[in-house]
Formats: sequence, C-alpha cells, structure tokens
Amino acid sequence: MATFAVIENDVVTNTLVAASLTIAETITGKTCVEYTDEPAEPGGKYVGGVFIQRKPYPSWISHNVSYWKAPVDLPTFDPENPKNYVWDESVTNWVESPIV
Amino acid sequence: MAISKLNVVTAGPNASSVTVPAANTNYSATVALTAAVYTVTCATTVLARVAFMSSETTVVATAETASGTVAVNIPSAVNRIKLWTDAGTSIVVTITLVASAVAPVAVSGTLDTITSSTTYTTTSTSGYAYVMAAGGGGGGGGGGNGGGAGGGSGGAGASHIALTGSLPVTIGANGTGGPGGTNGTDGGTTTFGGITATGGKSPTNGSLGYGGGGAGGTATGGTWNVPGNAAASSPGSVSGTSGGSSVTANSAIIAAGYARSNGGTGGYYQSGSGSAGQGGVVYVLRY
Repeated sequence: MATFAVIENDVVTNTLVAASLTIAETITGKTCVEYTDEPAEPGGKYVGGVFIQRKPYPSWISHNVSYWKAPVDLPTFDPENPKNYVWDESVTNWVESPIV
Repeated sequence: MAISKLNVVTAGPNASSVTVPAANTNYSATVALTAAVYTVTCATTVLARVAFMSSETTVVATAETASGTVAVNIPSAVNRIKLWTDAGTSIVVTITLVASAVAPVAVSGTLDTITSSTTYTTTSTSGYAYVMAAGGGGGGGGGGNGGGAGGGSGGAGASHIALTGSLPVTIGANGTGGPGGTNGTDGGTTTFGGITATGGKSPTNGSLGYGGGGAGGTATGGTWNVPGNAAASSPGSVSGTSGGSSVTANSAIIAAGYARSNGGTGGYYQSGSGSAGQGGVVYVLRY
C-alpha cells in the first residue's frame, strides 16, 4: 500500500493509506499526492512539490527545507547528569523541565 | 396451625405492600414478581423475614430486613411469599422493584480488518455492524543531543452502524519517524461510519532529543470515543535511548473500543532515527 497526502490550498489536510492515487482521490474527493519518506503530515504544507512539516512554534526557523529547528541551541546533553528541556515560546528559549 | 393469607396492595408503580397483623406469626400472600432485584422494607425496629416462592415448597430467594431495608435478587419468577415479623402489629412490609434483570448477549459475527482506504460495501445478516476506527500513530522523534521521544497513539471511536450502500473508509497514514535531529510526523486521520479518529502526534521537541512525548490523537462521532495515549517522555534519560510509545492495537479488544494505533519510538541519542507509528485501522464486526 502507498501513502498519500490530501492537499488543499497548499496545506496537507490529511494523510492516508490507499492502494492507488485514484482510490485516494475518489475516497477523499480531493487532490492527493503520493509520498514515501517526505515529512507529510496534517497541518504541514506542500509547496512547489516539496513537503514542509508543520511548524512547531512561530519562532522556529527552517532547517533543511522541509524541517524546523529552534533558533537557540540546546544545552549539551550529559548522560551522567541528564536534564530535560522543553521549548518555551514566551521566552523563545529552552527551559528545564522535570523528567517524567 | 393454619397460615393466614394476607392481601397484597399496590404501593406505587414498582412496589407492593402487605400489612402483617401480628408478630411471630407465619403469613402467606399471593404476588406476581418477575426475576429482578427488589428491596424489602419495614419499620426499622422490626425484623421481617420473607421467603419468595414459586410453589408451596419451592423457595426461590429469601430476605431478612436489617435496619428497615434489605435488597434481594430474585433469579426467577415467584407467585407467592411467606413472611414473618418479630415485633409490632399492623407492620407494613413493602417490596419494591429496583432493577430488572438483563441478560446480555455477546455480539458475535465476522470481523473485517481494513488497513487501506476503500469503499466498504459488505453487508451482514442483521444489516448492522459494530465498528471501530483508529487514527494513525504518530512517528517518533529522531535522536539528537538526547534520545528522541515517542509518538502518541491514534485516537479511537466505536459505534454500531447500519451497513447500507457504499461506505467510504479513509485510513489515516502512520506518522513517519524523524531522522536524527528532526521531528517525526503526525499520524493521519481515519474516518468511517461517522467516526473521525485523528492520528497521534509526533513530539514537537523531539528534533533535538528533548521534550515530552507526542500527544495522543482524539476521536469524535462515535458512541464511545477514546483518546490515544501520549508517549512518555524519556529524553534526557541516562541511557540516552528512545522515548516510549503507547497502546497496542488489537482486534480482540474491539468490543471495549480501546484499540489504538501505536505511536513510533524515538530514536537513540546521537542522531538515531525515530521509528514510524502504525497506520490507522478500521474494524468492522458484522453481525
């Protein structure tokens, strides 16, 4: 089976499994594009033949065309003293968070 | 000594009462009670014993009041009661229906498992089916400085539906695992029979190996709607390995409506790739 992205106005509105493009477009009634390893996901974009992931946070910057990364590098990981960090958009930086 | 027979009077839509003239005397009364759960009530200062019978010698159930009221399950119909009280005169004993017995019948039939979008046209003997739809599992995040977190599992909804005509089935795709240093992708939405089950999320912070696991998907439109499980966050673990994932999808538990599509596992730290989640699924139990 193949995987297809449903495209509406350059936005990926869903991803589905189907046996063919014809079936995918018949079932959804929308334009579909087959993908394999590309980062197609609901909420992402399909522009100029390229899939772009959903932007996690407004401040994140483009990374390798299809991906996003934080504008601030993470603290270095220390296996002997592990710490957990989450992105805090209000301060546009990583903040330490309890490991759960 | 003969047993005196008493009259039973209606005491409400689901209750009957009998007045016991004297204590320490055996009485009989004619009733028509179906199998169900009842309460027997009398004055709290009085102990009443009631035998529910289907013939003069066949006792179906017995009850003895405690502090005024006791519940009794009568497993089959009775047509008479024998009763006795230990004190007082003109004691009113009330028998009230509180719950009818229901005999559940297991729904059985033929189970179809659908993992690719299609048009469902199969019928069933009754014309109905019990269906469950689950969204695709979210992909695990790729490892970075720490281990990537896992993706959430897809939401799941379940309903009984009529199998009429051609029913479109959309099977949400699995989320893909993120390469080292990148996020995975979210799972796709599965729709069938009025149920919309969204896919699990990939961890948004997984691109760099930190942060919480991906959130589970949601479900709407079903009689029962069960959200997917969020993946545990394990980034920053000593071993630096992946984040966890979630619940196993299993057709055997369709009746509970709890099957979901697994989310992917996060990649190892130092740039391991996250794994893909499971694709969405629809189960149709034709009966």
